[in-house]
Amino acid sequence: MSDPVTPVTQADCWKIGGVSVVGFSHIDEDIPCQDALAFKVKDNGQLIAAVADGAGSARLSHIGAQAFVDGAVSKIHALLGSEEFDPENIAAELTIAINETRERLLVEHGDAESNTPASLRDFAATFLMVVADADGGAFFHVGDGAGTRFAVDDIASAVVSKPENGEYANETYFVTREDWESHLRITPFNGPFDTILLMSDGVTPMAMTKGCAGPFENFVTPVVGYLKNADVATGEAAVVNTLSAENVRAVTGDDKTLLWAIRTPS
Amino acid sequence: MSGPIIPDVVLTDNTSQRLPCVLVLDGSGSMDGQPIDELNAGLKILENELKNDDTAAQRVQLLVIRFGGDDEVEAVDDWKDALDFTAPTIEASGRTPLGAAMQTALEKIETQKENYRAHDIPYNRPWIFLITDGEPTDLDWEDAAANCRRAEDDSKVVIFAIGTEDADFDALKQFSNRAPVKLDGLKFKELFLWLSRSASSGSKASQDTDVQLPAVDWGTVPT
Repeated sequence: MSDPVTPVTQADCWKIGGVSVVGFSHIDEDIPCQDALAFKVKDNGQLIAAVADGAGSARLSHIGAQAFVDGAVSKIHALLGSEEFDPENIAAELTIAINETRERLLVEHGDAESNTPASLRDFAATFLMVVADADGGAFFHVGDGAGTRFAVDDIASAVVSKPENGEYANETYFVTREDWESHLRITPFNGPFDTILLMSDGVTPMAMTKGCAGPFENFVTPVVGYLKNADVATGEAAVVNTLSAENVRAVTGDDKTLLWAIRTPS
Repeated sequence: MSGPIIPDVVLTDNTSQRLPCVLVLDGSGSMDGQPIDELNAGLKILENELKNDDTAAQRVQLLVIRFGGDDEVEAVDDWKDALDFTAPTIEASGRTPLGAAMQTALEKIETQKENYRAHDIPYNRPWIFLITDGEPTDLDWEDAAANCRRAEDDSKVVIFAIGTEDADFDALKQFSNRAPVKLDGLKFKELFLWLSRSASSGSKASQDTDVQLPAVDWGTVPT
């Protein structure tokens, strides 16, 4: 009798990992990491991944950030099937997911007994999601951070979902705002590509060029090269160590999240 | 650090983010002597403190405007990154054209914002620090003061007004929506140390957070 063989699915063609590293200033001020990430892959190879960055000034933003990525990834994972990829349809479902999460957060964390009912503002977080398969996909983005898809041998042709800030660098948009839907930006893309990166604004200064015009080659080439050849656990540990390096302190005191999905030969 | 680390990765800040700060400094005749000496010593402290802070040295950008003489207002130098900033020596002579100096500061800031936008440089809300020992001598200073308050209302700028013991605090109140601060004696060194630490905090402000300014140990808010 031969050994059972695990069937190889399209889902096995991604190497996916991600880390959130608490910022230096958060360590100094004893504030938890307010970034969050989540991802799922369907058997047909469709990837759904999201990162969120909780606002430093919001007391429950770490809870909000995690709830928004979990809610959105689960909802879109359940939605996707064999039908044709439709960014507008996904955006509509994402809108429902985020609004459901907003309501659920208020119910679950509104504690009348303690006399400190939660307000939506307490859960303020940016949001960035990618839905993709081997041929293409789209970024769905509210606020800052950045998403990019590129081929490592042609970084110049990268597609980027850029941050949206207010006039000032420390102002951005959160999915807890009343008008958040008007700040939802969709950036479709197609191939060829072998790498997708999602990152919070703690990573963009290092991983992207000025103005987030494109990936910064001296960062992404060694990082993606390493992650491609390492197992996921080793890759995640290496990214944590790299983003915790002392010379990062001069770049940012903020939390740093990097999520990667790299196509591997099928 | 133990554990794996990614080799050959370059970890630099590619954003070129800036915090523009304008120092509007009183170089009128009444500052002559020890006050102007202490102010100049304070500027040197500012230079050194910012240069010793890796992030602030790259992000804080300074412009010094001196007012005095025959109602003269001059930018002592162009905008300088803190890394390249050399403390000027402010000379004391003449009158106190405070309104014109603040109007110039507002205009310089708006021009610099256009420059940032043209070069895709993100920036924080600019700060103006006004330091004086007297009262305005230019006729239309109240118009300039109204423009300052309006600029604050429109979130264009944050203004800190600081006066020495004999300054006209009724006039200073009109240049900012914040209460002016009275300098204790000639604590210019302490003031500039605070200013450098404030700029350092401001240059690192993360999204949606208020800048936490250090405690003021060099002055009081007059009632």
